[in-house]
Amino acid sequence: MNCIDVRPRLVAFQDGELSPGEQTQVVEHLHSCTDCTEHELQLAAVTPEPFLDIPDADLDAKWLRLDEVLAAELDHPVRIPVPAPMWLRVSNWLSEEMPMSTGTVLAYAAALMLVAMWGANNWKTAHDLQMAAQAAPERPLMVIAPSAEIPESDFRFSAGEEMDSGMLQPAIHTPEPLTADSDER
Amino acid sequence: MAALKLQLVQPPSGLPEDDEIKVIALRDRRSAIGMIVQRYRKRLYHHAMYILKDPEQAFDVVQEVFIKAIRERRFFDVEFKMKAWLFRVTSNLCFNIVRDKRRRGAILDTMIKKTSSAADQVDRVFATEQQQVILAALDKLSENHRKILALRYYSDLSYAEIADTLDVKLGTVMSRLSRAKNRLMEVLDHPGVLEA
Repeated sequence: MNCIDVRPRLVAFQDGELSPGEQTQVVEHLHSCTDCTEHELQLAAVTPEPFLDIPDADLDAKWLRLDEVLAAELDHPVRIPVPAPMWLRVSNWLSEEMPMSTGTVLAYAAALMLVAMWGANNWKTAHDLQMAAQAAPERPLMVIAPSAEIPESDFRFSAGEEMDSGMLQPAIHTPEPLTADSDER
Repeated sequence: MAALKLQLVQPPSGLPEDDEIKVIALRDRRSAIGMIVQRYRKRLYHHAMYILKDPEQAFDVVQEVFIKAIRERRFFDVEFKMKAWLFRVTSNLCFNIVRDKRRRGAILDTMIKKTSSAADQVDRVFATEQQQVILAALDKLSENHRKILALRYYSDLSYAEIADTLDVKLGTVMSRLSRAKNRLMEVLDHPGVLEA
């Protein structure tokens, strides 16, 4: 061991807290190093010593007081509150913070749950449809013919209405009743 | 029926060790508490006196420590380190008071005077003038250094017990004590620091 190793161990050496091997190495170093020996002596000189017996005339009276206080504590222990579980704390918080009865809160909770279930069900249905559409073979889309291709003759005014450009309606092809006139044609 | 007292005043004869007290606590917790109090009250009181230098405050701390011990459900558990716990709680309560005093120190002159007279009273219990000087110098150290020096030299705890008390490793105890003592030496070598 050199000085750098020994210096931090000097206090433990004085306190008898080093292992036997370290103790021997420190002693060997101190025999050969005057600086460390002097430092060790200086440290020893500032070692605090324990109190002598404190001359406290009231000490017996103090122990009597301690006796009474601790006996009372044992006879009537103060109950230390155990932390409540989370659900109970939430319930307490709700009852304190919200001016509603427990029944009302439960009704709200049930309604909320129903809405959530309805939403989840809708989502599931939409999801299933989407999956089914992806799984099905591709088919050509039905294209609705643009209105330009519908012959103008297929549009007529509704009976009893004045002509209005926005009121064109597709003609409804209903079979004409069989009359004598038609037979003639 | 009148409550049974713990009979703490009479000095105990042949107090059992901590482990034996734990066994006693299994069948009679009250007696076990009485034994713990008898075993540690004086050491804790001295420990608190060193830090606070006020007999009444030191007594109040000791009382609070034992009340906490009674309320501590694990106190007599096999793996529970009673001694380390008692000194840790005592140290913490004392330094809470010291910090509080420091915060209010500049305002409350009366308290300073009271503390000074109490400190004088404590000083008288030291054998030599050098020890009184050391005690005064300790007040100039950091809380960590004061705490570890008090545990080692005033309360005579081993390094392992200090490690348990402060909840640090053994190597930390060794290095911190070394730094604390070297710092104490510096403070004593430069008395001007005491006036700071």
